[in-house]
Amino acid sequence: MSYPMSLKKSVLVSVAIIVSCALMVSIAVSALRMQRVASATPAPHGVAAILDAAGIVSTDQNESVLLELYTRHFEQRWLDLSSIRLSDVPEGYVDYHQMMGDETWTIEIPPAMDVAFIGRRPIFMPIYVVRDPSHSTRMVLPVYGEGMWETIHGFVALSADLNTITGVNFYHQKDTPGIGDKIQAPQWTALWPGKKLYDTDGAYRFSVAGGTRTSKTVTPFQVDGISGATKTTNGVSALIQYWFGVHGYELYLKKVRTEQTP
Amino acid sequence: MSRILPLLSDPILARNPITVQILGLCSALAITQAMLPALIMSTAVIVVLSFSNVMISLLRHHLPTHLRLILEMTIIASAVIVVDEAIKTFAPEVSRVLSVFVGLIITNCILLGRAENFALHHAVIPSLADGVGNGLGYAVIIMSIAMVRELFGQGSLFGYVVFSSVRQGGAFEPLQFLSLPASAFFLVALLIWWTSKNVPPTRGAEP
Repeated sequence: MSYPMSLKKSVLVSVAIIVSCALMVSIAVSALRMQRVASATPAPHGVAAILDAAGIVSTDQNESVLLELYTRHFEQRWLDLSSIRLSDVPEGYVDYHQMMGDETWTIEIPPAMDVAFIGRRPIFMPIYVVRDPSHSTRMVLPVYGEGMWETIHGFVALSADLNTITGVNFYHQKDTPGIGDKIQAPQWTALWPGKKLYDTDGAYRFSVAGGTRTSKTVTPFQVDGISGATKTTNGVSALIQYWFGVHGYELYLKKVRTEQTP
Repeated sequence: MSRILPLLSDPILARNPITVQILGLCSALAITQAMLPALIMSTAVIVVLSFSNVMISLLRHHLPTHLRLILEMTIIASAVIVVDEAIKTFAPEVSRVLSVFVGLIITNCILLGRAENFALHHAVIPSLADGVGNGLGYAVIIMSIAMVRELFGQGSLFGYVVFSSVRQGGAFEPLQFLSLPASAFFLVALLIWWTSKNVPPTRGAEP
């Protein structure tokens, strides 16, 4: 160990170790990634959040009960955001939470449009369509963006006009107790139902009001921010703006809306 | 065999990496909220630690002195990446709970500590035993803390309800404090205190 070693051998050993480590990692990781399959149902906390956003209340919070409710009410579809078409489960796709930054499954967001500071956006997003023949286009859409300390994830439920919000649920992926409680508080999420994303011309109007709101009345396009959580509130505002903008779901929602009106 | 066995058993109590060597505390605080993540994390540490100890022991006569730390880290990091990807593939739920902490095994002082103090000076079989032993020592502490935190913080073990809480109609009021990472500080401190009072130090210095 401590005896002197020639420069040649040092370099040789180092390069050999580094190359074999790199090989081991690449082979193992690509083999493992092929094993992954897309799950047809979201994670348990996702199931709870989707049900909550859609306003489906259950007294029993047991995982299996919630899952049963979810499968009864929802159908998961895959939306290709680039071609705004629904697609089959893309092979090799797992879960957008795990694919952030993965070049195969995400595209770069033009910096000017990246209001929620996401960086790269998944090509495919799961959307949750309510199984209900009379309101076949009610859906719950996943959203996320940067909050104060960590990424805020959430679900937004839309009514059949694909404009009116019927409910929201926000959560942090890591679920740190004490942090972000405010955006999960029912008092705040109760302000959301009935708010509209787009005005009658189809232009995006929604925002979460910051501390500088001038008029006393809250418009149908505004939700009051949370005092003392300005940064988090702004994060929520920005992520809704991003996901319901042209780079997010807007074009798809427009398409479904025009298909609906005969 | 008589020389291998202590390498396996000593780190479990008498030379425990957490309570005696005081290494790897950050993850002990972070991932001990529930049993299942703690179990997966412990397994990951055992696998990575055994692998890195064996590899470093195999290479011990060939590692250039000045570059050895970087090369040891390269080996450890490679093993961690593979294990992290394996967990993401086979236990995606748990991997979400563990989040960055599997990746942070790279910086877990137990790994570099064992590599530098043991694997660099010992043959492959003792190094393997040392890796497994220290991994088990880590596991014992992590799992005990997780057991206390999950049982009294959530009333369950491995997600199965043991005490049904007031909210579920039972009589158990979960101790919210135990859900906070800070509670692990106190539990680790109590364990360190108990160990220093009750476990006699092993004969001789670090092998």
